[in-house]
Amino acid sequence: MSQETDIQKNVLEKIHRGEVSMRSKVYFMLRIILIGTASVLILVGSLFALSFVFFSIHASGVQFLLEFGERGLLKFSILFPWTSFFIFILFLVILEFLIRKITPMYRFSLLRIFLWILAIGIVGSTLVDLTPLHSFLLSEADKDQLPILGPWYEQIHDSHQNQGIYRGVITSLNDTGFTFVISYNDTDLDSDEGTWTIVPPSGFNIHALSVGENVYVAGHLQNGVVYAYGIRVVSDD
Amino acid sequence: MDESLTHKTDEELATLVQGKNEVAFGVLMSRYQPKLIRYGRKFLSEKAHIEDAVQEVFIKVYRNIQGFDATRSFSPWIYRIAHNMFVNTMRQNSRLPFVTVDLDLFSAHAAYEVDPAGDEERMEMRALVERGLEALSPNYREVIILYYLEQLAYQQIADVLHVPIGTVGVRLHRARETLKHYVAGN
Repeated sequence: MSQETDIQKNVLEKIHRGEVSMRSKVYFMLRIILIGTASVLILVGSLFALSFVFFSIHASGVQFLLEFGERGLLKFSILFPWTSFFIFILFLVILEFLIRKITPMYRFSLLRIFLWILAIGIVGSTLVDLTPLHSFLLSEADKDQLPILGPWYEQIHDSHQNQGIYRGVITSLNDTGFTFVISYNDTDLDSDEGTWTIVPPSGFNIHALSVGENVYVAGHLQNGVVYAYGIRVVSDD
Repeated sequence: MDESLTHKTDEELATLVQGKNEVAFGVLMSRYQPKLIRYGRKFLSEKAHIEDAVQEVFIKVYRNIQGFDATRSFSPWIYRIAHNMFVNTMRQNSRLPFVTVDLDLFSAHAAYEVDPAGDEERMEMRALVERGLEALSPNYREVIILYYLEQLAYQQIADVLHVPIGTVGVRLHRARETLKHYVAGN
């Protein structure tokens, strides 16, 4: 008997003895449904993570640093919500792996598939950011009514004074037009409450400011005075 | 053997196997055993290892046949199972790393033209493959075997290896060049 026949014979004998059984169609359908559901959940998670990055940047005022020159850019790179961003990237990588597993997407390069998913992620996250979802969750976190995600949202209010960032309301403008005072006094009793005297950068039109306006200031503290290299009025909305 | 089954396509036989027709499975095994043994020889040197691996391939095929989509080609599906089996067996036997980074998968090779080989070139390359296969790294070896010896199309090779079609073209091109240089140098 040839070797080929032996292999076939062994396989068929194992089938007859019940040592090898056929997996049911339901098994494969459940497998696809499970991976499909996991993919959808991961996609939702990735959209949530990136839209949180967008929301966090503008809700914390970090975006204003982009207007403050090289020093502002450096601070932006430090204060960027990298953790949420890397979670988004991690989700994309897992999503790509799952998609390649259940669809013939492996026919395209990893880079191309990644760019497609990235584009979907950016568009989707922008749309999510337009909804009041994150504002609502932030207000819930402020009221200590958001379990699990609460600390994530509360970090938006973190003081960045150690990075030379000051936020507050203008309480007075100096007559000489060179300094003004801001105070920050929210309800969370963080370390960011206080009053600071700000010296604007040269060429800054201090008359464009008025008492009661919210400002975002980047500078360095020296002898109790903040020498600013960037000032931005923050609109109330 | 049922004569009526021998005229059926692989996909028709697979559909019958899904209905638990063991005779049809026997026909499929007869059809693919010589091909898989030949394919296995390019990965494994010991006869016993090849035969064990082929037997395991058939067991996996039977176990997972309900997951085969009969509207698609059967050949890449079974070669995919065989490929994974041979590569795993080869790694177990040779202590090759289990996870390797394949840079070819990251880049896009869309501009690479699919260039079907003519009969003459195929014959010439088969001779080269037999003489210089050991000169090729596993990535190039499997592509050239599937194309010149197993006569699978680019699309089918992409389905077996789960790599982009452009990558198949690039690897074939590099493998051909490496083989020609190797044979010319010897």
